[in-house]
Amino acid sequence: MSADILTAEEWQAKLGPLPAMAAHLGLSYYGTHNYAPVLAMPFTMALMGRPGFLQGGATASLLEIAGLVGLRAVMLDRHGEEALPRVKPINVTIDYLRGGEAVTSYASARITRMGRSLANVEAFGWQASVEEPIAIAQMHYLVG
Amino acid sequence: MSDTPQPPDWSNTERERLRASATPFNPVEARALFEQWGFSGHVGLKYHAHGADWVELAVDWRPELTVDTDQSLLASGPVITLMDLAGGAACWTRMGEFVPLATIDLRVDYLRPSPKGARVFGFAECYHLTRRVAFVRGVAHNGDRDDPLAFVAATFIRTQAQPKAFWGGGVT
Repeated sequence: MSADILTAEEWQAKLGPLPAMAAHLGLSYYGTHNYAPVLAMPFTMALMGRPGFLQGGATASLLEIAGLVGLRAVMLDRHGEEALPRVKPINVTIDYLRGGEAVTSYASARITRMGRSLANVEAFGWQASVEEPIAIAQMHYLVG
Repeated sequence: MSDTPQPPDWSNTERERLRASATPFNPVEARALFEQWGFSGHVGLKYHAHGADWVELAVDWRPELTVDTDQSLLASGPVITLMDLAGGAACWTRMGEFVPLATIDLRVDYLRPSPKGARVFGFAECYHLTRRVAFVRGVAHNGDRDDPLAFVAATFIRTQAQPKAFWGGGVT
């Protein structure tokens, strides 16, 4: 388990380019939180729901990719690129906690448990402070 | 669409028009707002059908909505966006009013991946309403509701007509 605090560029080098959906959202690697990668999503008109607020689907999309990226980081440390397991989503539950405002959002994930065939992942998004999440997603992935 | 976003005042004018309408809320009348505005327009959601307490929307597969390196697997973000908005629209349709709603929570169970290139339909039904909370269940499919790709459960709460910092993060 690497316990380094990586920069955006180091995460990019380690984990590779983000998926196509990430570009559609305007996501980029931002830094590290609790040794896990953090993604940033600057606010744009294309992410809006009610005027001035993020659409819930945009928040969900950010959390999904944060979960996948966080899982990839843990699996890379454990298995290496050659033996990287395949990942299939089983389900996701999202709690919306606060309205996402018209500012940059951040998201990261905690791999609650990494089993042989199941990964439990908690992704969380925030804006002003990581202590005040705007949404939390619990995800289950089939791995291997 | 995303290339030529409508100005925010256009969205507000549309919302005020829908709220002030003398006739009960009809998703067909709101389709311009959701097909052209913000994230639902950016993802490319389209109106498909509705009934007294249900709404069905659709989204076309596009490479920019994928999450795998082969660019074939549709991300769950567009499916969640589809089901969130179809759910909210189902609530407004059953209520007959375009009231401010926030998504409390939303769960998606993925039964199978959506095939590359396939259109995804999101059917959502508001099956129970209380004074403040609306309960929604739904199914995502590729054209046959009996061959689902995902099941969805969501709850929504009526919010106050809000300037800023209201709680909840969902539709409208």
